[in-house]
Amino acid sequence: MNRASKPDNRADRLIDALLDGDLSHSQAREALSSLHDDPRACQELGRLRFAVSKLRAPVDSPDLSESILSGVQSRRGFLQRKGRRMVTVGRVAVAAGVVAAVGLGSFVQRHAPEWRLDEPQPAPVSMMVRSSSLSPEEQPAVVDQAVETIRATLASPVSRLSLSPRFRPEQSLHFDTLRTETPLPGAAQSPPTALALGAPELQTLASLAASRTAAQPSDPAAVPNTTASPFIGRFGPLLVILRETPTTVESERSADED
Amino acid sequence: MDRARERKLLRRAAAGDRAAAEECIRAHQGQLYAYILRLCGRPDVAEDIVQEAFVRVLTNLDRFDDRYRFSTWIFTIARRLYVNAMQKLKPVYESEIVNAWQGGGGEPGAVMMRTEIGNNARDELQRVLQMLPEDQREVVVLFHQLDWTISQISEHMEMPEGTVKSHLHRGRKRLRALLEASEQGSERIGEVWR
Repeated sequence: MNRASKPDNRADRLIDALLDGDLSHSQAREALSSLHDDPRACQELGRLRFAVSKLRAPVDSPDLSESILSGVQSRRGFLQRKGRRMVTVGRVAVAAGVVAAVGLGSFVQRHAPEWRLDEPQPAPVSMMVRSSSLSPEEQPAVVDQAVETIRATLASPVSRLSLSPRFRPEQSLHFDTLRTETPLPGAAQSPPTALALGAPELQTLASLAASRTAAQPSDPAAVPNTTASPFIGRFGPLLVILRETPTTVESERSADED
Repeated sequence: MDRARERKLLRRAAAGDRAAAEECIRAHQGQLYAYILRLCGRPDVAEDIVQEAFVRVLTNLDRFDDRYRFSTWIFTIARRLYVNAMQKLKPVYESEIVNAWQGGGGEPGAVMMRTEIGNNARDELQRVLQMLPEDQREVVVLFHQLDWTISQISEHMEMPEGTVKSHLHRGRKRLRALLEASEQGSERIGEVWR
C-alpha cells in the first residue's frame, strides 16, 4: 500500500505546487510532462483547475459608496475645498511656529546663555545647610554666597552689623546691642527688638564678642563701629528676618530690666 | 491602483476630501464585498460589514500607517467585523420555516419548496464554500479569488505560511470533491424530473 501511495503523493505535491504557483515556467512544464503519463493525476489536476476557475467568476457587488459616505459624513464630516485649505494653512503655521521656537531656543542657548529660563534658581538656605557638610576651608565661601543672595533679595538690605559696646556676653542678645550701618526700616519709630536666635548661634555670638572684647583695648570708644565678626556680617540679614514682634520684645525687655 | 496614487488619495480623504474617499471606496468595495460574501454566504450581512468597515476606516484615516497597504488594513477590519457578526448571528433557517408555518404562510411543504427554490437560485459555489471549514474557506477565497500571496494571507490570518498552505491544499481538494458531488446530485435530480 505504501508503495502504491508513493507515486500518488508525488503527483499530489506536483499538482499543489502547480496550483500554488510555486514553480517557474520551466519547472511547471517539466511537472506537466511528468504528470502526463499518470491519467489519475491528469484528471485530478483538471478537476481542481475547474473548481478554482469557478472561484474566479466575478461577484455582483452592490455600489455601497453613497451609504458609506453618508455614514462617514454623520460621524466625521467632509470639508469643502476652502476648509481643507484652512486646515492645511493652520497645520503649516503650527509647524512653522514649532520650528521657530526650537530655533530661537537653540540660538539663545548658544549666544546668550544668561537669558535661559531653566537656569537653577539660587537656594541660599539649602546652600547654608549643605555648607555644614563641607570642609572648614570651603564653608566661608559658600556661606558668603548664600548671604549675598539673601541680601540681594531683601528690600532694605543690611550691609553690616556690628556689636554695640554695651553688649555683654552674659546678656541675652538684643537688637539694641547690635548696630547696623544701614538703618533698619522703621527703626526710628519702633523700639529695638529682640532677636530670636537658637542657643548655638547665641553661644557663638557671645564667644566671638568676648574674644573681640578681650582683644580690644578697654576703652569703649575704640570698640564702636568695628565689625563684631565675619559671622555677624554674614548672618546680619538673617537676624533681621528673625526679628520678633514688639510685644515679645517688651516682655523680654522688662524681664531683662528685672 | 498603484501605491503612490493610493497614498495621495488617502491623504486627501484624511483631509476631508469627499471625492478622494469615494474613489478609495470604489477601488476596494468589490473585492471586499466578494471576500465577505464568500465567507458568510449572506449578501445582507456582507453589505453591512463592508459598509461598517469602510466607515470605520475612513473616519480614522489619520491613524493609517502608509507603510502598509490600505487593502490589508480594510480587510483586517472587515474580518474582525465578520467574526463579531458571526458570533452574534444564529442560524435561522429552521426557525424561518417554523415561523412561516405558524404565521399562516401556508402548508409546511409549500414553505420548504419556496426555500428550496431560493437555495437553488443561489450561487452553487457559495453553498459548497459554506461546507468548507472556516480557515480552509478563507484561505481558498483569498488565494484563488483575490489572488493574495501566501505571505499576505499568513500575515492577514496571523498563522504560519506552512499552515496556510496546508489549509489551501486541503480546502482546494475538498472544494473539488464537494463541487463534483453537487453536480452529480444535480444530474440525479434532473434525471428524476425528466
